[in-house]
Amino acid sequence: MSRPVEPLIVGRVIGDVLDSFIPSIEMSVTFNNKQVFNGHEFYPSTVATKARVEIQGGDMRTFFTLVMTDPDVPGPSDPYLREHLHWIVTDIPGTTDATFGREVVSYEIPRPNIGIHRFVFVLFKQKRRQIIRSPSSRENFSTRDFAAENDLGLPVAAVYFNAQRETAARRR
Amino acid sequence: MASSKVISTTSQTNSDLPRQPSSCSSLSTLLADLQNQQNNQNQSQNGLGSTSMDDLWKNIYSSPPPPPTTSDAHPQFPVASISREGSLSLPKDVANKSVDEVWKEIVAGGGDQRQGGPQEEMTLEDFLTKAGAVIEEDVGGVVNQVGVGVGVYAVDPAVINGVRSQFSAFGNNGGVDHQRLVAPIGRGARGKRRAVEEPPLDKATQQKQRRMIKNRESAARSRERKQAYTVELESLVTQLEEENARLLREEAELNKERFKQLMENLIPVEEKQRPPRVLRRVHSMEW
Repeated sequence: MSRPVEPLIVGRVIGDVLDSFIPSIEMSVTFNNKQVFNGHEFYPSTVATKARVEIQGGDMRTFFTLVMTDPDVPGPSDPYLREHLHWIVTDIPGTTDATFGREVVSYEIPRPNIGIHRFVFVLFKQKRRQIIRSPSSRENFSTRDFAAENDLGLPVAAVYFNAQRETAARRR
Repeated sequence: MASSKVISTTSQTNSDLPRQPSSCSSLSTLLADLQNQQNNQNQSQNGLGSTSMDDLWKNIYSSPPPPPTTSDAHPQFPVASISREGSLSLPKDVANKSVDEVWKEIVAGGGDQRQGGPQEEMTLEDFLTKAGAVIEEDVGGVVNQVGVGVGVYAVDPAVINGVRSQFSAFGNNGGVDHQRLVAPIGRGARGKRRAVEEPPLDKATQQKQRRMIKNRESAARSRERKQAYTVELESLVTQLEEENARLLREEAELNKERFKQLMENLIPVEEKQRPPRVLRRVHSMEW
């Protein structure tokens, strides 16, 4: 049973970052025991430590790649640096979590400066245990191109949260 | 975004216009009916509108009546059209045909034959440039007046509000001045319609516009975010409800199982038989 992609479509994650896909794997992302649900807001302080990403699907013989990006950089009204790469973990065995994988790009603490940014976790299924090429830079990253280059195909799971500056005015 | 707004106004003309009552807008409603006519050619709804159009065109084409006559005729038609009782029923194709003829004239004067809005825009542009030149040179007939008026209205009836006053005067006099007014107003109307594309001369207003656009986009994004949040919550709710129901059912099942098991284990214990008591003589002497 996978959660529907409707929140991803309404939140424009499918469109800006990903192509339309059918989720086939359950993935649960938690920061400090707070689970990430689509479109919920997190404080930068909460997401300063890397998330616990559990994959509740697949088997121990299939491997997954996790990518975390920010498509609204530097600001959602004019994201000319789209996207900013925050984290890549590969070779995650099914039914385990991200700590069992290989961190290709280390976790970067989100620092949304202008506006409210979306931070997207995307999970790809690897066809085999492969060596994922580490991208040259975090700036101007493209999840689509990354998936194409490494032959990862469409995502199998995705979730996103919102975050703004710690001291930003909320709920005016 | 602004352009889409403009498009929406043009597409909503039919609904908006007929409901604009005012004494000086008799001609505008009449011409709005013409617009209605144009857009609803295939539908047989506006029987009365076609009637008035038909009569109007017949008046114009049969013999050029002096403007006062046409202006006298005008108040009748809008009244009839506004009342819309449908008592008159002229064949629609006749009305359509005559209107088509006029449109063909206008279109032939203009550019290519394209569909819908662009067609009208193109032809109007060319027509207006032509009309502008023509009007200034030559007084022209009533046809030109009405043609220009129709052209303007067909393109942007939303601007009628601004042009209404001029046309009321036109309806009364039909003088040359108003003809001349039509062309620049037509251009101005179209310019107003496209005000978004023209750079306003003032930098402050430019910045204000930019700020407004940015604010609008930000508001739209905020609404999107809110909607995404609600959608997510809704899906979470249904998911959790299902899970809850499933878990409750599972618990009930397990409890039932446990009870049954318990009963099965107890019953053998209860069925154990006691030996029946038998009376026996002991410690008693028999004599």
